Amino acid sequence: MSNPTQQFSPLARLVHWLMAAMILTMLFIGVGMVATVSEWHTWLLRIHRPLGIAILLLAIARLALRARRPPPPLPADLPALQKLAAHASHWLLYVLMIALPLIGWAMLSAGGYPVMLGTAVHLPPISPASPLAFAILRHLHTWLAMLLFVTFLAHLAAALYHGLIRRDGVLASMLGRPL
Amino acid sequence: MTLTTWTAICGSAWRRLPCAGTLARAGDPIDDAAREWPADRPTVDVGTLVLTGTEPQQSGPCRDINYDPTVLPNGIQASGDPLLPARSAAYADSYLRRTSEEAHFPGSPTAATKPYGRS
Repeated sequence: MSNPTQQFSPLARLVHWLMAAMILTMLFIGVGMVATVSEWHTWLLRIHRPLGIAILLLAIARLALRARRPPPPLPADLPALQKLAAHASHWLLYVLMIALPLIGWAMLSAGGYPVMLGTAVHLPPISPASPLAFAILRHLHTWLAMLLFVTFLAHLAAALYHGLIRRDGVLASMLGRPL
Repeated sequence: MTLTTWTAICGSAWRRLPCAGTLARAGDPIDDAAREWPADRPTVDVGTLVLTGTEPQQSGPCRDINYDPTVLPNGIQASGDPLLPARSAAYADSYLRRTSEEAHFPGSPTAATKPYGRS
């Protein structure tokens, strides 16, 4: 069914699936680390920060990739409302992939924490130390992470809907082969 | 309480707190603060903490700092004591509650109107 010219580039597919694994890991690390007072808290926090920065850099790289080679068009017979939902949810995913790491970084800066990636790399603060800003950014970080979780689930559901129910080649364009 | 009040009660010796580090020997437990090391371990004087004044808790400069015991300068590492990550996690939560209160965040309690520690 899928037309070879209607596919994402191999590089776009690689970054997509890599980021899928990273973001899913990140969501569970985030929920897990705030739920425990065991050594896991320190351990997960140590992964959370560098992984977040890696997601930020990859998301920016993906926008550049996308500008160079636009994604294949959605099927022409897809209802307008579903097209709108597809575009809106993709842009929301991009916004969250970039905003969440930046908010996390700004939140640590506002709280006066050193922003350590590992033991040697120390990122500069991107916000002045302010307990008020910390409180707002810290809550925003949680809420937007929950929104990312919901958007991810909608994205997954839509991919399965395209792949298993509509069978319109949309899922195949990211899998790289017909389902 | 002010420094003068404390000094009236306790004398002036409490203002100078000598700090010492104890050197471990192989096999000394570093993951359980409840187990004492043998008394013959050598100690190193690392300095004296001198208290020169007190500040009210609500307006003093210490209020907005989270004293996370796992945030350490280069050269100092946390031990395997499980209380340290537990304090880090609990302090992170209390810091968010305090700053939310300060920011009048919806759902957070309103700030106390009288200073703590006074009746």
